[in-house]
Amino acid sequence: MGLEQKTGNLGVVTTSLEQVVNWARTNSMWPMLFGLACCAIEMMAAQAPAYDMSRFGMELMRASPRQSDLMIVAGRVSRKMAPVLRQLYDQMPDPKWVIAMGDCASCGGVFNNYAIVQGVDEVVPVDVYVAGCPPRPEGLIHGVMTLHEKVKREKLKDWA
Amino acid sequence: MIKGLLTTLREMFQQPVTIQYPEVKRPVRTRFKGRHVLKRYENGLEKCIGCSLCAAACPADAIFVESAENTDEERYSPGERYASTYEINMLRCIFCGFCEDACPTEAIVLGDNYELSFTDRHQSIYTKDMLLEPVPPGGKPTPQNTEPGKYTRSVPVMQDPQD
Amino acid sequence: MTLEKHGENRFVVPIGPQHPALKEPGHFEFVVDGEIVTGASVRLGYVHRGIEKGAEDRTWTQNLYLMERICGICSHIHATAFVQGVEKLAGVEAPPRARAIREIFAELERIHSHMLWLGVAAHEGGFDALFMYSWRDREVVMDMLEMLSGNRVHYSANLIGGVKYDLTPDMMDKIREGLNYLEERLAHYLDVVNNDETFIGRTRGIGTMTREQAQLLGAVGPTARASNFAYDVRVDAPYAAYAEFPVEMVVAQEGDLHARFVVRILETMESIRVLRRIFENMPESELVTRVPRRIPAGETISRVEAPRGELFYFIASGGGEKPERVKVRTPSLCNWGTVITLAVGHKLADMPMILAGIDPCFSCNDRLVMVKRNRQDPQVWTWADLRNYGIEYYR
Repeated sequence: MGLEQKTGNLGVVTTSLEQVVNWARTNSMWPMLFGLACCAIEMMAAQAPAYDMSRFGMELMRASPRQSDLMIVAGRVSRKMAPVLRQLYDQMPDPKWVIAMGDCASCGGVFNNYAIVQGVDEVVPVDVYVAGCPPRPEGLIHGVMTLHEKVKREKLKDWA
Repeated sequence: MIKGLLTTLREMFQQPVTIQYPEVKRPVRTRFKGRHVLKRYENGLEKCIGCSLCAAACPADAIFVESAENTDEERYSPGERYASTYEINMLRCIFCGFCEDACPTEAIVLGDNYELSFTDRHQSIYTKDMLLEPVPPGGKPTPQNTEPGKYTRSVPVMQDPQD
Repeated sequence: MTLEKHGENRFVVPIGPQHPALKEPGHFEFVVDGEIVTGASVRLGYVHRGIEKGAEDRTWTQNLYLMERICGICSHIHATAFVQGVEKLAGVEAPPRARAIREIFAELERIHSHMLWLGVAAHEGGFDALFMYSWRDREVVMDMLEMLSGNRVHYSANLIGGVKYDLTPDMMDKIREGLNYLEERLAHYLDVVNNDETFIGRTRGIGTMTREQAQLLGAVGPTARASNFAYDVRVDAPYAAYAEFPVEMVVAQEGDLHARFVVRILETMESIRVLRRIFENMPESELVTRVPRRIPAGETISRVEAPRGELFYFIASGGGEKPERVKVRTPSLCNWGTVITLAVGHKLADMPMILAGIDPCFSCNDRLVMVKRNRQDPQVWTWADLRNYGIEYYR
């Protein structure tokens, strides 16, 4: 943001600003509609009425990376898909976060082979890994809560 | 159109189906396969004998077991050997339950915990301390000092396994 | 599947791999003249996982869990197809109760798959309310499956020579209760699909496929049955317990998108009826027969009816603990050809619906097999070679 460089340390002002901004960020995080395999089904189930992710301000799955803040990599990323994934990530506006949902996205899972990227963190920086094959919708929501905790701890200095 | 609106009206008076997840947790079914738990006997001895059958069975190579010799002074499990290292990579594990089937002593059981999310890949490796269940009441923590000749069988005599 | 030249001033609309229509990656190119599509092509392979090669490096039982992970929607049927082939090779037959339980799982899976599809297809048509309703009701089936097997997506219910999970009378009662609710809801959805004017406007007469076309293009499953092409492995070559508890084939005449909706909903109701019949006459026997660890050498094929159509497995055993070759042909791959043909002549806005109409499952498709080192040396790569290649690639 560059605020701190301009004004110096403002103490209580920046701390409150931090809290306000982080609160706003956690409460309207729009995920990108990006499913790759089995986990996409559970991601959609998390969006469906029974789990209803819009309770966390995740109203819409945006098809366009330009409109989204959170990329949920739901499923295995093949080597053919990896450049596409990186391009989508680059197109997302800052601030952006990544959740690697499920085993395959996190570390290759059962597909320990030539075709699958062994963990999507080789391509994009990952904030939260969710284990499960595939994780229950509750598991995904727990991952989102973990991400929220992480975002709430972010400091003003890191944004700048 | 009126018919469509009638549907809307009818649905308005129904109970919402949403599970308010972080506050309300729906109990999982008994057969649910969640995070593994390493079981203990009633006297506190570990059921796991470090045979590595689960590691061999695992389709995803998620389990790593290293075993060491038991002695009567320092006894972890019945029989000759115990697992000195037991690690499961939760991000590799596909929760298929084949380790449960492979285990000769019913030591490893897939539990109920599904809240597995990590900010770092290293956190996903669950060691033996994290997987072992707490010592049951009346039992002693391992290693135990036991009398010689009492725990010679590593695989106990069992009835038909339940669910 | 490449595009021919469509004149100088053709305009190509590329869609994908990440696209708003479906939740899995695939690349499509539509040649348009104004709004009307004049040509289409599909490019797949974004979810290739090397499963067939991986199967050669795992034991027979481990492969069950690998095969389940081919598809995130119809996982049980993949394991069933594999396990039936292996049982055929080993010369054993699963006990009657195990076969009945396999059928129960398969039919429950069909219900959940068709309801999922109903929601997704309605979502493509801009009818999000139906998406929300059908996904709400789908949770009922998911809960049943979790109760039966402990997992929501990959049930791991099959074993070579039987099944892992038994069904208690208590569970049957709960499932019956859920089925009653589902039947009521499905009747409502059928009513919506048949009578909602906006919905009919988006589906009737769109993507019409004649019986001849369906036969020519090799369509399978509900897509073919909606075009009056009566072909269902469950009826034509009964497997599992389908001989004792037969299903009736659902066929429609029209061949358009609307017919596919109707066929799938009616099929779901048929599944519910069959499930009730199985519960009434559940055979009593043990769950597993013993199968040797080494499967005798030989080759076999195995066919089952997945929710999307005929699923075909070829299994070759060299007499060892691991299969020598497993080849999978999935229904989605057979149905892609129809999309290319049907797209021509329709508006671009209808494309998501036509794509969704065949109930595509991208992860089912991608299973490239032969990797050749180079032209001079036509030797096929081994699993270890491929793995080393992967490790080197990332270094």
